[in-house]
Amino acid sequence: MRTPRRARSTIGVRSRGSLRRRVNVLRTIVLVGVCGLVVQLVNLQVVRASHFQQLSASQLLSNVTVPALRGGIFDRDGQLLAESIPTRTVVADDFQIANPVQEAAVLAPLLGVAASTLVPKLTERNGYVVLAAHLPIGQATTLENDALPGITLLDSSARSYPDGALAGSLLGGTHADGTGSAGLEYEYQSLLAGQDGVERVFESPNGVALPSAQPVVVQRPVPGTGLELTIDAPLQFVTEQALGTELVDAHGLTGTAVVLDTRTGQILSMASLVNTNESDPSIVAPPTWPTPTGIPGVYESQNNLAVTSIYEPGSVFKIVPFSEGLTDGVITPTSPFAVPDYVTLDGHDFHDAEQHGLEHLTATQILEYSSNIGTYEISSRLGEDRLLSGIRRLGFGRPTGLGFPGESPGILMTAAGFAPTDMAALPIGQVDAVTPLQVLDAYNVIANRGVFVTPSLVRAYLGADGAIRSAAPSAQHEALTPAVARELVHMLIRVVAGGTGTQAAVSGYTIAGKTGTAEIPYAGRAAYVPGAYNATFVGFAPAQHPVLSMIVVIQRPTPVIYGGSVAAPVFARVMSYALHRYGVPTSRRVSAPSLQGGSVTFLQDVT
Amino acid sequence: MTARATAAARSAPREAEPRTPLRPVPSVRHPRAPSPSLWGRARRRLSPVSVAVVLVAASLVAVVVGNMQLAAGQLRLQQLQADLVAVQSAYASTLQKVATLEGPATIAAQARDHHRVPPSEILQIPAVSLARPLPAPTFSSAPCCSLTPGR
Repeated sequence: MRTPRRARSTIGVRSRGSLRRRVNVLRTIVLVGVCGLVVQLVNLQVVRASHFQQLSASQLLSNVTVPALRGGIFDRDGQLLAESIPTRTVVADDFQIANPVQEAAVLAPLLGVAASTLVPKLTERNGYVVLAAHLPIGQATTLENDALPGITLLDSSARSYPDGALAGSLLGGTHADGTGSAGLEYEYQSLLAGQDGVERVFESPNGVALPSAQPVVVQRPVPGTGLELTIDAPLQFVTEQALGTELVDAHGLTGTAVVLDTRTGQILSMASLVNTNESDPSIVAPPTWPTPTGIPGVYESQNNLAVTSIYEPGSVFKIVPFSEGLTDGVITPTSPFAVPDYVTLDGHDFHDAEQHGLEHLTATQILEYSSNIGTYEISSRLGEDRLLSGIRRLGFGRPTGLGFPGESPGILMTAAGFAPTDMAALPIGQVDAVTPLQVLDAYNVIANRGVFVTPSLVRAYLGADGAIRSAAPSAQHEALTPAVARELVHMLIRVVAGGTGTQAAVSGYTIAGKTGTAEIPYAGRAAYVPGAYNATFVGFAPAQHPVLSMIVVIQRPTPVIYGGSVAAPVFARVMSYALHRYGVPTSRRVSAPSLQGGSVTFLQDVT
Repeated sequence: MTARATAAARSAPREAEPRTPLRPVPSVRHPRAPSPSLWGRARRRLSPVSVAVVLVAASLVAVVVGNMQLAAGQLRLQQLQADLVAVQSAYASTLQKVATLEGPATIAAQARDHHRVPPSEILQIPAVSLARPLPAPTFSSAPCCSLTPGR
């Protein structure tokens, strides 16, 4: 009887042991499984989290470029000339819009557009319809709070020019996408643009933005660097007004004026205007900016004519043979010349602007009265090589170093192409084509005691963090000796004191300068447009201690064509204002040196 | 030895040996007996599986809470960003208004409205050397009669 009980007991113990083992095995398996899950959880959530986030992002998130706020442009006194204002672009996904009429009614007052205009846009079945490109932030916030289905707001900015057309040809403009299209906006695009940011927005697999999903800022945009220009806004305004008024009065097609700080080469004002009241079928007018200048029919040119347009400068080019002659010792200011009315070279007649008999003139008087034949005689003494090297010495034939987009180096005659007639035509500014700024630079060499200063337009760079970095000072090199420059100054004073440039005089100051009136050639034809001239005056003040240099060029004035009558008065008006504005001390009363010479009767300077 | 002899030998009583006196055996606690303490009872109840499940659940909760914190921070950042853009926009607009008012064109227009025009000619007096004495001023005699009209 006891044996079976003992056997059952043994079996029960064995059975319990086996069960325990099984349970332990099961526990171990479950534990291992759970541990595996934990490990996998850590693996997914921690170790490979970024990988899976990327996978998820690639399916749900898409990167949207957030445009950086473009840097501002200021004048030399901090006056704002251009700035970007943050705005929003309103985009509609019309596939998500169930009730376009109702939605258009809500949108209309916020966008300032009639609901009837919006409804067709909201039913285009396009998926991406821009409803407003530059919505102010205040209205955009209201629209955002409305959370209309299918309406997305993207960051954008609007470029604004508070002074309207002021310095438009200089500043340039921007494309619809905010990139610079012309002028300084184009030249300094990389600096002004800043660095765009990146945002990730949640989208459905078919690319539709998910409603109420906040975008994730991946990289914040870095605002662009601002520019502090050398331009003086009030002087720029006065320059444009004086030039524009004269352009209308003289019936000119285009006008250019530049004022330069003699010592530093900083450009204080630079105007390029187009008179749309006038036209000439033989002369192509440059495109204009639409903003009005305040003078009827006068608009800012889209091209900065002072650096992008080349022209035959006429008599202002006579400074080349005179500077070379003085440098070479071929002439002195009092060297006498017998000047006839005309000369014939290779079958071509060259004559002075006005008929006269044989005149006995000094070199100074030849410049004073802008005698073409007298200038030819000086050039003949110099010879071809000296003449050509003198042109390059004063900076012609190469960019000025301003770095303005589209700047032309000009077109110069080479020794290989030098014809016999060029000995008379070249020194009076009829062969080479140069820019107005190159002419101004050449005269600035004389004003600056023979030192050539590279012109500049930017004084400093304004970082987004408020840091101000000054621009490098302009490069300089000696082009003429100080003694030659001094002699030329005295000769140029005579031009304004009693020669062809008397209308450039400014009371209280001694002015030195030169007039020029040159025919305008046809584009692509070796002939001149009948009756069309470029009128130029270039000079500096005060003559003994120059502070400011300036050039004025008016294209095709009519009926009065002379630089001394059309361009010189603009010079006088602007220079008078500028000298007064900068507090330049008045000159001492200058008694013009008495010069020996004949009785001159010609007072114009047509070449 | 035969089987019978073996059986006889087994059945034969062995010589009696001196036996130790009987005494009560001290109770021996089972080494795996449960502890009477609270932790012991809890530990007995918490199997490794339960612990693992709790750990997993806690991890998940921690991850969810962390994500919520991140999302909340992101939302706050987004709101701040929007506020910043709004303030920037207002600043830029104000700057533009100031620049327009300060602009030379506006000032010239305002001056014209007040009937102020640029002078047709500015007479700048030439500088005079201070080293030389100025000429003595000349005085005219007093007028003989009053210039006031109507008297």
